[in-house]
Amino acid sequence: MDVEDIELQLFVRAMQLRHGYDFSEYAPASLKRRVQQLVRTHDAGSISELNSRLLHEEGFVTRVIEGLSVPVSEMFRDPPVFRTLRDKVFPVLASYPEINIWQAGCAHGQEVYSLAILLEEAGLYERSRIYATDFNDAALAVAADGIYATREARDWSRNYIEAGGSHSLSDYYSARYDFIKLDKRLRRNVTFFNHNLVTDEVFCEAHLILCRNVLIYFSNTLQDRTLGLFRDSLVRGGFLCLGTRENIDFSPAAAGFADVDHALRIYQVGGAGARPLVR
Amino acid sequence: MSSKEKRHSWLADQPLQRKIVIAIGALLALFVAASIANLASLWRENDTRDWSKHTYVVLITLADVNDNAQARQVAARGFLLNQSDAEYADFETADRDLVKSVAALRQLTADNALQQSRIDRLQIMLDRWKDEVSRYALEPTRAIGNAATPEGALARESIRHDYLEHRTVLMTDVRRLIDEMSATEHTLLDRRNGALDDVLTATKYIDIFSLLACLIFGLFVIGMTFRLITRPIVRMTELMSRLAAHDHGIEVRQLARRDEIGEIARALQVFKEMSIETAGQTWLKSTVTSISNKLQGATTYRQFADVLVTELVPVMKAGLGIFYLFHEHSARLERVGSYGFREGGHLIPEYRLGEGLVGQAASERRTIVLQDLPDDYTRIHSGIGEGAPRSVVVLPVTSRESLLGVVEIGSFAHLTALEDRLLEELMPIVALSLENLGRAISTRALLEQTQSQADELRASEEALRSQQEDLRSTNEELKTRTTELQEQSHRLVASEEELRVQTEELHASNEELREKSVTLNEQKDALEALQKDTQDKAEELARASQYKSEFLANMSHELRTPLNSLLILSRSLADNDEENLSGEQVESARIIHDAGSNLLRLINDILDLSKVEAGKMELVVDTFPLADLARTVARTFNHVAQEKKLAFSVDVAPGLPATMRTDGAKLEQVANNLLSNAFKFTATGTVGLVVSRPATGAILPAGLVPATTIAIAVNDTGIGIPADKVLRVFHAFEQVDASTSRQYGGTGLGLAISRRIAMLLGGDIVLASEPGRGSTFTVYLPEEAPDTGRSADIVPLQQAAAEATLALSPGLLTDTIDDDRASLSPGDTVILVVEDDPAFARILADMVHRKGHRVLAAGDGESGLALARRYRPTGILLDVMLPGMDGWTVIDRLKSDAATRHIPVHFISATDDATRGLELGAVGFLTKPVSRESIASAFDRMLHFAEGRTRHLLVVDDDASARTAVRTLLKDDSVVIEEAASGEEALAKTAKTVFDCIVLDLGLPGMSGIEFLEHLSRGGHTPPVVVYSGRDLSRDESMKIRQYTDSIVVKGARSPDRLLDEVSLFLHSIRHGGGARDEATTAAGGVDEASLRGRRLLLVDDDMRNLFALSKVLRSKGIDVVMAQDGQKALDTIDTDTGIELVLMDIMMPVMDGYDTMRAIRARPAVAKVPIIALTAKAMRGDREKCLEAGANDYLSKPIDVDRLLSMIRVWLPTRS
Ligand SMILES: C[S@@+](CC[C@H](N)C(=O)[O-])C[C@H]1O[C@@H](n2cnc3c(N)ncnc32)[C@H](O)[C@@H]1O
Repeated sequence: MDVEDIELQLFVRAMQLRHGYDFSEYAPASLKRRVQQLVRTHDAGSISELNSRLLHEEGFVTRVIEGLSVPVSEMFRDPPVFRTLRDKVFPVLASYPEINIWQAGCAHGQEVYSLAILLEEAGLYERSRIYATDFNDAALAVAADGIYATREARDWSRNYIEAGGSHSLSDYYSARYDFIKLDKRLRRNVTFFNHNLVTDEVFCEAHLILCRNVLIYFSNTLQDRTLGLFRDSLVRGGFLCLGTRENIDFSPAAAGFADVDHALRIYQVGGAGARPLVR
Repeated sequence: MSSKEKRHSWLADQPLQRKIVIAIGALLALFVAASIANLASLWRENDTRDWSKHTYVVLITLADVNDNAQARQVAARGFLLNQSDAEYADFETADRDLVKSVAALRQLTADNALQQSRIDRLQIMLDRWKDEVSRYALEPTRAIGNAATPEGALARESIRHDYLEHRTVLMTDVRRLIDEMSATEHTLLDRRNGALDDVLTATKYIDIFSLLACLIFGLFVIGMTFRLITRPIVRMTELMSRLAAHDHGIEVRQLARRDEIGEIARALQVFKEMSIETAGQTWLKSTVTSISNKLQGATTYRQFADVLVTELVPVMKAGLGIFYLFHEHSARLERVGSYGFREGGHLIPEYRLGEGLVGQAASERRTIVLQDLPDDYTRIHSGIGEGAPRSVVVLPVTSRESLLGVVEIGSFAHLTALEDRLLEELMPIVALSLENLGRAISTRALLEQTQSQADELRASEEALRSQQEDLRSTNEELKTRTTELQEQSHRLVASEEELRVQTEELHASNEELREKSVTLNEQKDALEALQKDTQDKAEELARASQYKSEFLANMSHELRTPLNSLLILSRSLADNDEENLSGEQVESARIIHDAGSNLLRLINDILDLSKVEAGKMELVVDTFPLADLARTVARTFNHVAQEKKLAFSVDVAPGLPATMRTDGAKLEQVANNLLSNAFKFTATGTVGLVVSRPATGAILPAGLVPATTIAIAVNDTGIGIPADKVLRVFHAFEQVDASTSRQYGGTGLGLAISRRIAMLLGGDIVLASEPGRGSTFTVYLPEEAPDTGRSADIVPLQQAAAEATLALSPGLLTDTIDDDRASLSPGDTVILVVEDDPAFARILADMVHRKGHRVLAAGDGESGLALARRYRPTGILLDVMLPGMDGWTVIDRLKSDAATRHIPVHFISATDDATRGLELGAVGFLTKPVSRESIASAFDRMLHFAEGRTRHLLVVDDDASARTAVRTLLKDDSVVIEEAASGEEALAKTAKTVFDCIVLDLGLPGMSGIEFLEHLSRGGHTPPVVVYSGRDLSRDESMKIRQYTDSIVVKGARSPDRLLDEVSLFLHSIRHGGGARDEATTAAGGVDEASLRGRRLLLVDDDMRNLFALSKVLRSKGIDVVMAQDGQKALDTIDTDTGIELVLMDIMMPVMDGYDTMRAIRARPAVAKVPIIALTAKAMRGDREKCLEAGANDYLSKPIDVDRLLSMIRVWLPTRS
């Protein structure tokens, strides 16, 4: 084992012991890259230097978390997914008197607003609640603001159309200088929360869970745990939507889920449904 | 031709609109003229034709006149011949006609004087003729009459002669005149026809001419349009597209025209000029930027000059270019770059200021231009020849009036304006770049200089430092060496000293050690022996008590098992269902049953007692309201008192605390025991219970103080107890005398147990009695029971018992009873009985048979499982304690196998762990001993859940067509669907039939859907309900509904699928909705705890699933749960409801999260102290602190562990006032 790997393990231990963040079950290769990146951004000579700051410097951990989380996202990312949600999933959700949606790993919130827009257009937003969670507080703050660079909005408009949007994306934001700000009304049924998928527990009964491009950072064990959380949170007949590069095929959790669209990773809980939250 | 051209250009100058008006106007005028001419000739033609017609009429009338005259003559002649009156009448008519026709003729020819005069004549002639005829011929003839006498004939002859003599007018004259007149008319007719022919010819000519004129003029207009409008526009368009393609060579014509075409042409011209201008500008700009960009790249003057001239000269289409750089210090211009230039001749590489044109331009800072140079001025060379330039330009390059250089350019052509401008714009940029270059060059030089200086400096520094280093290290070395030497010598002295002391000490300690080790060894031996002793004893003790407990447990189990069968059988005998027993036999059976029941009670008591004695009695010390004691006791014994006609009173003295800390359940057990004794031994009078402080002077058990002691006295007016027996009543297995036992029943263990319990609770029971007058038992208890610590778990005992069973009942096993496995046929309802007690198994089998079902029996778990897998029975009755694999394992295996999962399992066992059984998926749990009734209901329950039977479904909807729709959707062979149109009807149906599922529409007439649900749930066993709603529900509404069901389907496109799913889930799968799971929770928390009962608690959570699961558990503990779905509602509740004693607060809620809500609560003075327990899904370090900071008293992470939650609630609930 080379020195850097040792340092990395120490880093993981330090995060856990000092701050309670458990990264031991993150996919090692990507974690290593993120940490190396951290070393560079903080001008540290080595991971060890990072570790010492982590141990002694107040507030440094939040910056580390910011560095380890990869909060990249787009609105209507993978438009077919959103189109399928709209065409196949929403009609079923419409049969519930209220709709709770958990968006886990919401990053800068683009997906949250995308969902809100589609729900609004389907006439379902009034009875929906979106719980948007992430473990990166800085990202959550950005998400809550709903302000993005205009340059990105151009691609998003195209995505929106491809996702089957029935108006124009520009109906939902106002642009000023180089930024766009999404309509505040889209936020009215959204709640942003800090929630760590590694340590925290189920907190709501969800009808739809979106957790896209988060599991790729996790080891199999951690993926299983997370899928278990989702399984516990979803109501009978609830839906789970993962990123297009993730799947549940080899997880023990797969047993409870049936394909809605295999290629787009949209699943539905079959059988007896959610377990009670009380032991 | 020229005049035509002119006319055209006048026309051409007119606006398009006017042109069109003129053309169309002319055409219209032409058309109108032609039409008028045509009309006029038509009119004339008509006129002429009328005149001809008139002439014809005149002619006809003339003929009439002639005819009438003739007729008159004929008539006259006739009369004369035969003198008939008829002839005479004819004469007169003809005459009348003649007069009429003559009059007509006169009128017709009124315009013709000649004819009028002729008519006059005619008239005269006719009149005269008539006159003569009448006078000379007719009249005389008439006078004679028509006598055919010769005289008559003679007279007539004379008359004839007479007439012939006198007549002057002859008819021939008349006819001649008429002929004359008609001849005149005929000539007139001829003339008039000729005139008509003329008119017709004239009309024809007019028509032909006007048609031709219109045709020719139309063609002319088309021609003009084409010439004046279309062609110019086509030409313009062509020009425009050429201009768009940047063809600047186009020539725009028709500029002078003053119509729109002219305007377009002029605009086009402007565009052309603009386009040429922009092209020039672009060229200028791009040339300037490209040259300046290239100049930027130059790093030396030479490079700069080369770039400048090689770029500039070709662009200017010149052949020669030179750049001179001005050196300020020498005030000379040096040629540093050139283009197309041949060295030699009269050209010098350097100029002073003012020298030559170059120097001149430089000193004046002014551009000099020479045109039309002489041939020998200079030459421009190329490989194929040479020539003299026609013009030379010399430009100074200046920046802020300071000279930097000069550019000279020679060219064959004269400079164009554009090239002029290029030079003009370029020069400042050249100057700027040159200046920059100069600056860069000098900076570079400076930098190099400083760098080399720095290098030098560093080198010398380095050298210095190394020298210093060397010096310091040698210095240090020296220093250390000296100190080392010093220390060495010191140490030597010291160690010598030390060594001496050490040897001394060693000696001493050696001695001591030897002594000590001897005594130590002795002590150790003694200790070991002692230890072994105690250990042995302890082990023995433990073993003994273990044996005892195990024995007792086994005993009770072993005893209960046969008792079980005994009780059932004796009961069924006593019931004498088959009516084949004599009264005496029935009585015996009843005695057997009673005795068995007594025995069972005794066993239970022994078990209790042994638990107390073994210290295994579990105490749950908690806050217990004294009022509760009074209430329960009164409730239990009131009817006993009525039955025995005894007075019964319960009193709680004033001034006592409301609660005490003790084990409420145990206390109640004691009180119950004492009271049932009192009732037992009292025939008349009163029984009473009084709770008070100890009476003054009462002798209290050790350790109790009157001020904190509660006395619970049970008094009666019964038989009393003799003084010598007072002590013995508390001994186990002793009653006042054996006969009493027989007379009054009871095990005699009750008092012993009660006293032990009282002592365990820190008090005692004291008895005062007078035989014959009654007795008083007083329980003294401290307000606060001593914390004895929880005693050991009961579970190991059970395990031991299970193991013991295994050992105790070998061989009692399998297949000792016959079953129906050999004679099963498909379609049978088959019940599998897994029971190791053959007697009981037989009873069960018997009951199954009596119900008309088939039975399978197994005596142990393994074979039970095997039978279940092989025969797939309809239901299974399962014992827990089985030899080998126990019942828990069996059900676990059954439920994890897809083939057997659906088979309903009902437990019947001596164990009383119903919760565990239901959790494992059993449909019910019976604890032995059991009654036949309970077994029967177990059967029903099991078969209810069994597969294959028909399911009953109720559809409640007021709309018949909606009901039919649901019915069609859910139709299935095994489902009987009933319908109800209102809540009332549905309730009536549920009272009659047990439904497996109800589909409910919310909007019902009369009782609403929600009211229906309330009623239904009040009725006890609720079937699962699927709510099918036609409208959206508010959060509040759905929360109300979710108290009863979590299957809510809102109607929409995909809702039928979901409805089907939800319903079939209830009908065909393991989920029982309101069934087993509910009972499990109630069973789990069934005992409601005194300390929690009636306490009001606010539960705040946005997650309905959580809200209901938690509130259900809490309510089962007797807690009064108020729910709030979000922070704001929580605040509203807490503001209005002052009875809230504790708050359970979820953290992750929308809008106002748990932290904010807690802070808001803490900010309210009225409720700032209410304890709050935060419930959160967050488990990170720091989350706890965050909760506490926000105002929580404690913190529990999800998923909620109910036991922990309850103990937390107990801790934080304020003690009752
Ligand atoms: C690549 S982004 C995904 C954004 C978005 N879902 C999408 O697909 O466009 C991954 C996000 O997961 C979050 N994340 C990573 N580990 C997490 C954890 N243990 N708990 C919660 N969020 C986590 C990161 O902070 C990051 O914002």
